Amino acid sequence: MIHLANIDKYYDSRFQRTFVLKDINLKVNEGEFVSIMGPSGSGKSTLLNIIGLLDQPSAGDYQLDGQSMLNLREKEVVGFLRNFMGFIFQAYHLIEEMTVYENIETPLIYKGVKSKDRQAMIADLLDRFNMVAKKELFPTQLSGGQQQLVGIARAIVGKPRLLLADEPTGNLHSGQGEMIMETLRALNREGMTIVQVTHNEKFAGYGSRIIRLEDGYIRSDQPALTTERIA
Amino acid sequence: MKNFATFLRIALRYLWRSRTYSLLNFVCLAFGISCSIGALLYLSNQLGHDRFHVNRDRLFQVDAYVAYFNGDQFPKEYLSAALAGKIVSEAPEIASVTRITGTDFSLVDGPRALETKAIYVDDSFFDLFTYPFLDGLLHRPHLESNTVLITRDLAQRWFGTTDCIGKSLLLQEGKMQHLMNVEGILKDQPQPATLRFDMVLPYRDFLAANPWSEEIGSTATETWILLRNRDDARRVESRIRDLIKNQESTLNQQLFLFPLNEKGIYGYANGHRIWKEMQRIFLVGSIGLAILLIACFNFINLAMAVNFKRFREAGIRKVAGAGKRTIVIQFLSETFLLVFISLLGALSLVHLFLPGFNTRFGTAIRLDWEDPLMVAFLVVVVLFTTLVSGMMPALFLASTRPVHTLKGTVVQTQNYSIFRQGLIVFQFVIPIVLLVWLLTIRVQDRYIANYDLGFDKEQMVIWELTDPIRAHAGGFKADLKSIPGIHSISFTNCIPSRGTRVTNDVGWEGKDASEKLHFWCVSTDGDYDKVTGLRIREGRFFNPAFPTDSACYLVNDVAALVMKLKKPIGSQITVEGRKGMILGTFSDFHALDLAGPYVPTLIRLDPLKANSLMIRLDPGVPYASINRQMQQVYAKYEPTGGVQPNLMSSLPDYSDLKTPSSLVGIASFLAILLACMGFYGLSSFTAESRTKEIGIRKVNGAGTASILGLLLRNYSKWVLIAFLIALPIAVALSLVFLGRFYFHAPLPLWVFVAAPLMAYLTAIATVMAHAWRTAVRNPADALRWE
Repeated sequence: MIHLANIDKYYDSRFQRTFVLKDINLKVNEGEFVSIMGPSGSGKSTLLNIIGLLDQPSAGDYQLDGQSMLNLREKEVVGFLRNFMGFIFQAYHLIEEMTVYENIETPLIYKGVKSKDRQAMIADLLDRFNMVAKKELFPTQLSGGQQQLVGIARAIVGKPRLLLADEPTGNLHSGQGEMIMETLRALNREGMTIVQVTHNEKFAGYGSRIIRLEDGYIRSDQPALTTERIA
Repeated sequence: MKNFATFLRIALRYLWRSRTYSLLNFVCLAFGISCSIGALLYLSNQLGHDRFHVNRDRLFQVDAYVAYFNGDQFPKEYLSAALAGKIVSEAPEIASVTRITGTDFSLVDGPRALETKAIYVDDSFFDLFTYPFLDGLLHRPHLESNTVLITRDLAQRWFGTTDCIGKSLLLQEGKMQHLMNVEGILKDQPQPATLRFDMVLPYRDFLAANPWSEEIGSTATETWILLRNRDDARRVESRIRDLIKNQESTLNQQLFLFPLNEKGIYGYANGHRIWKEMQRIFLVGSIGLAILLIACFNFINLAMAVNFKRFREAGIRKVAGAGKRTIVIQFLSETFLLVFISLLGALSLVHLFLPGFNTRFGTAIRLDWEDPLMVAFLVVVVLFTTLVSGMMPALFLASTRPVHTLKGTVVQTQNYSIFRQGLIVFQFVIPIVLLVWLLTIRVQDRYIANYDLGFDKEQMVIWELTDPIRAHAGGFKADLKSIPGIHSISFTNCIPSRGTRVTNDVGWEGKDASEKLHFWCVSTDGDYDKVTGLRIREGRFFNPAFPTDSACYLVNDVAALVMKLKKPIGSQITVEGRKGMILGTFSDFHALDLAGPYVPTLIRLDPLKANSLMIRLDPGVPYASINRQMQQVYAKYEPTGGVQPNLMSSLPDYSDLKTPSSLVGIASFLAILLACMGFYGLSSFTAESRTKEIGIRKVNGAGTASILGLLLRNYSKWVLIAFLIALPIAVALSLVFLGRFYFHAPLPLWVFVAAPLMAYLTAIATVMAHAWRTAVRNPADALRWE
């Protein structure tokens, strides 16, 4: 599904060119669960942003489903964000002025889903995440894990094919982190493609494949030993 | 619909969450919008006069240009009553013509009296001016002698009912009384209107009582015409232009047409249309717009400062699939909501202040919801305000890139772009200009009030004459004179600077027969020079001891100049048929107000024509004690009570600088209030967002004073730049304003220091609280934040 070829990302200052990503070649197939790891500054988030169309590569080719993602017009980017991808963030990035329900509803409104359908879709998700009773609460009234669950719910409510998670457990203690990772694994098993960035070896192991970055290069790209196997 | 409810709920939540800023914005916008509504109401009131006349566009007043002694031409409204007939026979384009002469009457009924305004009109009046009838003559009225039409308002005031057809009215004018029969009731005319009257009388009655009015060149009546086609005005004008001149070559007058539409708004002088009320309309309109703009700019500044918290949200929304346009629309809708709420606030403000405004400025403005223009204006104002204040922040927000805003802390906190600084500066330019203007008006007002007319206005008592006093003038004057503390007393028709009778019937040796110059004619007694401190240049003033003096004249230097008299003293002149010798000349005498130049003025000994008494007190004598004694003398001669005397300094000012002064005063107050509110919001935001920076500075050894200085320097910079921009505008404005007065104060330089200083101090006082709190905060608290 994802095909990155010779991707460079660099910034030019007056005297030198600083590379964030250098010659990245990566293929991700539909249904994979990829974990990207690496020390800070290695370019993990930049890579994720490029995949998520939030950032443009400086050189190279990026194809999504066989379609070139270079030089898209803003409208087309918005189209992909609406219909193809969901995002989860380390800081949850919920809108504080909106309730749980309204936060989850936002992408559906942008997608133009009818009110009746929205209600049904959100009800399903709340049910699944055991958050029906909390739908009228505001983000600040929830624990971190619950906030991230809302973040996931918002990311997947539009039924995206690709879920991008930037350190989804970074702000959580391990118990809540595991719950989140279990949720992601379940989603992956239902067929959703997931790319996550993480620092945590254990949580990286939830994925089917681990890519290690260092100074902008891919140092290794190997199948993960699943946590089940570790356990 | 549900989406809308969701939007509304969330938007209100936003407003509530940042309620300080919302409140600040609400107050600013409410003030701004109410000013613009107020301005519009005023404008539509002033521009919309006489709208109820069906023939409004085809109605013209026939005026004549009269040449002034210095060559200027001024319009004359009152012309000969014979003119109407001649005009019609000259110009077939005229559909109808009417003459209108206004007179004041007292309605009397035993001891009861009521002052009223009446107009004498031809029957055709109602063809030109479409006044609706309430009762009585329903079709074209034909007014018989001694019949009268009255307005509903007068009927209510006098009879207490509108059912008064056939009742009679006793009109009193001086010593004359007329008994009139009420023939019809007119509906009250909607304000504002050019013609104001309480009753309508037949023109034939006026002609019968004033046969002189049909003489050529007389000052008798307004003449109004209705054209068949409004485009014919130029042609008609050219046909009638020289009608008066052709009749009598000595009258160097040119007729022209003054459209009803322009009455009151424009004037005519020297063949050009000039701004009259239009000046004030322009002033009010631009002030209204300026204050609205200040409010919008406040909003922009606050929104762009506060919105940094919302960049993250915009990023999230973008990631969730919102396009740029969606975010712009969302933010604009929120702005719209606030503007709409502010509109409601503004309407209540207008409602609250309109009665006071109307009393203060003598207007009858009201909010008319049935006026589609009004409603359309409100819609336009709301959209304008929404777009002007919301567009910039919305675009800014929508251009956010999620990569940056979602990556943790937001980068830009101290982003005072040129654009935003420009807005802050602009907000202060307006109040500074207005303050300078206000102070200049005040300076000129005081200049006129304190102008040395030759005597101390604080020690000058003006007493209007009544008939009993006139009848015993000599005795009254002698009795007053015996009161110690009274310097001198004079009967006169000219209180200096307050105008007098004008005549063009003056002849002198060597006069060019085609010249019809105007002279201002002072009739007084032999003490006028003492009372007014008249400056005699040559010759002498009248001496009652010489009986022949009563046939003599004094002229001022301007009059001697326009008469081209080489040796004025001893020259013979003829004024209104009375021939006499010039006894002396005088100078620096203001017969008219200080707005115009010295005019040709004559003084003659004719105390019977006086209408007031000027009593000059000795220096330092208190008016109150003298007044008691004067009242005792007055009561002896005026048993009916008469009128009260006034100190000249307490008489209302001719120049009427009060209205512009209070308009500009209100405007500058509002402008500075709004600007400061914006400043306050900005400073509270700065205090918030610079907490960390200041904490670091303090940890590194900066004292409270230096931090305070740092914060205040920033604000001072803006006010200083605003001052530099405002200065040339303010200077130009002051010069133009003062230039309108022939006698005016020199450009008051201190004003250009005082006004910006006032603006600066107010601004600094506004931000001081925040700056202080920020500066003294414990750096440990500030830095723990992270």
